[in-house]
Amino acid sequence: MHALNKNVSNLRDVLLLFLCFLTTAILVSQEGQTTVNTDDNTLRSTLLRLEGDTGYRFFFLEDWITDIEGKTFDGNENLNDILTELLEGTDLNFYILESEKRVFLLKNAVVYDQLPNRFFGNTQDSVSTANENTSVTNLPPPIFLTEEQQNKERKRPIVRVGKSGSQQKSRYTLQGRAINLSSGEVVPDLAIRVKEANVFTATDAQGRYSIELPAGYNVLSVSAMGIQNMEQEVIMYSDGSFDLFLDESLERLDEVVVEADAAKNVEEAITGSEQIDSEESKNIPLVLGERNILEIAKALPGISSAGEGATGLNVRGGKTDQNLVLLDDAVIYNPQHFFGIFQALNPFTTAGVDIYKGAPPVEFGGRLSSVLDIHTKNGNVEKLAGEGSIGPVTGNLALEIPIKKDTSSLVIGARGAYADWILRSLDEESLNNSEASFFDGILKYHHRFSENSEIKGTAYYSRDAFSITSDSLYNYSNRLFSARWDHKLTETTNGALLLANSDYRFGIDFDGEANNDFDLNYNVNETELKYKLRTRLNDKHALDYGISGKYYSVNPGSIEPLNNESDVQSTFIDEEQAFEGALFIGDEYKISDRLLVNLGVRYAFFAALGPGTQRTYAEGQPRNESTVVDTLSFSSGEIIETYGGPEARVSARYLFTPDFSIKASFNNAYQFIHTLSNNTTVSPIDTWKLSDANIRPQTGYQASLGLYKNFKDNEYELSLEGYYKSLDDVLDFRTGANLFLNENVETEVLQGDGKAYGIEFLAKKNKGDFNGWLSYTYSRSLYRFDSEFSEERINNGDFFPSNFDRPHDVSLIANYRLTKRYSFSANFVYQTGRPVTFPIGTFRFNNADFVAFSNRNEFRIPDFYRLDLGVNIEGNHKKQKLAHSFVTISVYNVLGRNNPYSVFFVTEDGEVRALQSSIFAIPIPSITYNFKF
Amino acid sequence: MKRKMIWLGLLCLMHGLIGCVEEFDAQINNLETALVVDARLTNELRPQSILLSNTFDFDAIDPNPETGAEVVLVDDLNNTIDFIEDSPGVYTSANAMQLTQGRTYTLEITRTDGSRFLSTPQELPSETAIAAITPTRVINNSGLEGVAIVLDVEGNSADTGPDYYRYEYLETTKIVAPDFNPFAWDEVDYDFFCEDDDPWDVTIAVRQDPAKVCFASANSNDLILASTEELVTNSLEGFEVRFLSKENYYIAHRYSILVKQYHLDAEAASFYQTLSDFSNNESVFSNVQTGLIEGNINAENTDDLVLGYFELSSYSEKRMFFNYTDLFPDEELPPYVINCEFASEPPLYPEGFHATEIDGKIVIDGTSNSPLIDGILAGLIGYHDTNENYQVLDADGEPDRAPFVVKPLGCVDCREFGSNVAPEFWIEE
Repeated sequence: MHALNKNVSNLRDVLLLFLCFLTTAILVSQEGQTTVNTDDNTLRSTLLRLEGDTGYRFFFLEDWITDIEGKTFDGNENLNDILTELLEGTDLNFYILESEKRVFLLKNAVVYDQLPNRFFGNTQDSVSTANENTSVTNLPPPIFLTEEQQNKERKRPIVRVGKSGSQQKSRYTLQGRAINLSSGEVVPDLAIRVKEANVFTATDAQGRYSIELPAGYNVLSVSAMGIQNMEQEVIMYSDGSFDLFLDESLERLDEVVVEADAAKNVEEAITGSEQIDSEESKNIPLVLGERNILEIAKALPGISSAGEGATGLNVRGGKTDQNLVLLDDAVIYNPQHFFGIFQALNPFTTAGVDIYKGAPPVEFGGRLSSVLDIHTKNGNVEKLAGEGSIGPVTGNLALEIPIKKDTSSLVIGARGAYADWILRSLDEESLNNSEASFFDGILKYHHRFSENSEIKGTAYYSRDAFSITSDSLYNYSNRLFSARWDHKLTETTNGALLLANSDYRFGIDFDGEANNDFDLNYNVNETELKYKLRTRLNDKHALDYGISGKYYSVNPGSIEPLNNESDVQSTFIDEEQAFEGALFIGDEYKISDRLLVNLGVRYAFFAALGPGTQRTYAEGQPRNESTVVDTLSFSSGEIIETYGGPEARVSARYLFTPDFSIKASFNNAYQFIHTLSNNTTVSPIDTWKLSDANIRPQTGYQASLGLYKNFKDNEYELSLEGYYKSLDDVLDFRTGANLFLNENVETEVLQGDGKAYGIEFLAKKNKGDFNGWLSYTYSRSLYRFDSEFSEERINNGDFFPSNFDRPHDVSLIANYRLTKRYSFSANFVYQTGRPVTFPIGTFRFNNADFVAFSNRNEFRIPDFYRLDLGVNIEGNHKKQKLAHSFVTISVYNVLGRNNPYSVFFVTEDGEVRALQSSIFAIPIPSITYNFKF
Repeated sequence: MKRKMIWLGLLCLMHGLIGCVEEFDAQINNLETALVVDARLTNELRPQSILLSNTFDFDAIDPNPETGAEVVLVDDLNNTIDFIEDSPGVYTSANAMQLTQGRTYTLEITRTDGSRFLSTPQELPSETAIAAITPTRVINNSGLEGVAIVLDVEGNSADTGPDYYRYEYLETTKIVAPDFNPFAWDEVDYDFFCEDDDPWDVTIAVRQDPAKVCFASANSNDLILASTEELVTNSLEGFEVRFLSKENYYIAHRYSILVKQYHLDAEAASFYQTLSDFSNNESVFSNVQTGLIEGNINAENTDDLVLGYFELSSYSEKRMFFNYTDLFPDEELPPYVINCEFASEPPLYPEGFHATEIDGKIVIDGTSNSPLIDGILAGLIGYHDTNENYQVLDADGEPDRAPFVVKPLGCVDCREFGSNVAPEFWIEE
């Protein structure tokens, strides 16, 4: 019979003198069990034998003694000696109560049968109590838990390590392994910190750790990618071991960026990286209630755009074509709808975006300024889930459909604008002929073969069509496919094989009155194959390496007559082809717990391929029709020109404390594809041009240094980062250049250099009912185009501010959750007005007055500021209902600030008029209804 | 409510995107002035002029002429033609001059301060004629009904590349005064008794000068550019040089347009295109990067800025006439230049007029102006009819003070809007 004594102790009773157990203890008396299998040499059988031989009754918890070897005794030894020998090396202690002939086994603890000296005050002598067999002279001080510690609600029980009584030390070593509870795999790179003590470690490649802990009560806080943050209370009695069994974080299942990365900003080595979670950003009020992670990216330091509603991002003073925007590993050339006002990404299927403003991981390349790595959610493999919204502009539905339980799933998202229909319904005659519609759809499949192998596939299409006048219809579209196979090669090596194809095109249909109706088309297509590997060599080194190859095909433009009456000549500018390849290797080298270094090198290679023709121009003369020396022809596949070189990716992090670090990085990059645009802001009909014999690749160098500090368990993040960037061979164009359908665009291209520098400050509160961030950036972005020929110079060859040089940039995003159902959010932006080219006066020519412009970007439009407010109302939280819904009410530009977007000068009836345009000059309210099931 | 909000939001959006453009006061000071060269010479045999001026402030009305400069045209055989300043900033060739096909010409300008400007050598493009000008009834992009004046141009088959054209026009309209009257004001006596012992008086007489039919002309002031760059042929078909709304009084009766065609080279066309791009209303998605437009004239011995262009072109012109009824038979004519619907009766003596004799002299001590005579002298009103009730007493015993019924002068006399002499080229059907 088992005598159960469930003593859920109120641990204050520890202060009672005798027999105190520090924890829930279940003692088992082996009373009446006398038959013993002698072959059974376990502690249990030994104790049962002893019980029989000595007449003492043993009390212990059966769990404690399983797997402990027993011994045979001849019966002549002292019980005390027997038990001492028997329990040596275990974490069990014993206490013999002679008067009742009972023996209590105790895990970890010691029975204090005497009070500490001066227990009853200084003046009194200690009270002597019956001195039993147990020697108490060496007893360590008992470990007491504070009231707070005792009353804590626990998800997991306190762990006791070692046993009291052996060697007394102030610190003990705890070692063990970290194991993923669901997969059984070891967890490498798990950060283990001791709360309220400056002690931390991480698990090695085999998941092993070793950490010195103060004796007594400690709280270990563990965090790693894909692992749910966990706190484990540990009481150290002596050196010992304990394996940490960890849950996978939910985020891992959903492939969303996680809480577990709370200290990532401090701990990782690379600088200038940011993450935006699509779901988390849902409360932030944006124009017409459309969620837009790219817009939110602009609220982060160092990321801006030329203006409200301007397409493209400018990252740290870089041009808009210098961002590598990836959707599930495939390049997306124009991730925005409707002149940049909406994102072309379905917010429900998008998990989030990782943004690298500094030295990006070695696998990425080909753009100078940044990488925006956008990933789509993996579908729910358990049950059908869906999300939808109805807003003033778009309707959106996303479904997650499990195909095979726990194995594969499909994500489908579709979003469309119904602006067209509304436009036509309006009374305003001038708008009846207008058209503005967009659509995007995404399909993602993922299949998990095993723990070691998984495939994902994505297909995406987006299209915009708009007309401003009745005779022309503009459209542009993105189409991409990607497939990725992640697999484990060995215990230490993971590989990923990626194949991606992207296509971007635009067209104009012009149907007017004259004989010039046309249909004009442009497209760029690229296919990339990449194989990347990660090998964890040992505790100190983790290698990332791989190879990638990309094939480009660009149709720089074609124009064809739209109908029989049109005399438009069919023109096809020769297609351009090129190959871009890269070999890369990077080592994450952990020199010490404090110093982590990422050393990477990437060799970028580019070859412009035939068929095609290339002009050569006279050396030392401006490029124009009259300086053409020769026109060379290249056959299919023939190499026209090659470029390339090594790119460094170096970053280092030094931890002053676990939540305070300094980081530095350096990188350089090549870019072989450029946009041609003679607009001050990006337009959807800008074309991409590959480098060729006459257009060199752009190159860039960047160095950055930053300080990162987290407070209060990562609740608050502070960072300060500075950078300096230098750019070479960036493209600009002669004033009034004609870029489209120009066979010899190099005669219009100017290549110059740029420099950008800035300091970025970010304060973030990650948790709590009130959260959000405040960012401030001071930055400059300057370019210079110099030449010995005046026609190839801009501003006399001096540095001038770029169109997106906005020195002061403040963003505030704040969310406040009032109750579970109501939350409020605000978004405030202030930016210095962007530079514009103003006229220096008027000149008269051909009987009309025109504006004379002088130096580029000498003036600025007024400063930009805007406040948006939003309220989120969640539906009720009843469990049994069809769908969970919430309504977002937002007002964009609450202050009604008329922020000028651009200024321009018009000659009408021979007179010059100055005009300014703004995109959203008044507060714009909107309501969006969202549901989720 | 929600529906309303949606509509409001969208309306704002569309409004914002399409229409939210407003004029603002550009606070720009003329930072520096630059020489502006307006040198457009053609292959015509006549004295030709070159205009030199300077950039000027937005507030200023006219540019400052560049005076006292030396302007010389030099061909590749070193023949020179001097341009003499005949009025400030206008430099005209001494004699009728003719440029020769196949020669290259360079323009040299020297300012009084010694700064020299030189153009790149230019050549005369080939001669091309306008094949046809056709008025066509259309509805334009903005949904307005009217007449498009369209051109057909046969390119010169000897030209290899595309052709570029710049157009100007001179349009002339026949104006018919709707309330023409054979009588007009004759004697207008505004001197009072004190001067000539004669009261105020207005008389009418048979009109001497014709004033029913007049002719008005206007020059184009926009840049009108065309090219065959994107066409299979080098002939232009149906190119619109001018659009007139159906409501435009210019086409009310008979209309004539003289289209002047300047055949340019590609470089000049590109200059004009840029000029045009920088001066036009832009749409939201095109926000052209503006800057200094490089012409083909450069400072030779200084860093001075120079604007403008030295253009050589081959000129041809063609005239066309049409009547409103040719295109819009049985339709109401466009409204007259001004509204002639209402007639008025201004009194000869104003209400409250009073005169007193003091010391044998008559002094006006009440309201002292004659609305009728003031209107006539200001050229605002014309004779329409005679008031039959003049001086007839009304119920209060007050006499009617208005001797005539009048209309705005332009309704009666077309010379308000043009000349009553038909231009030499004018042909009635």
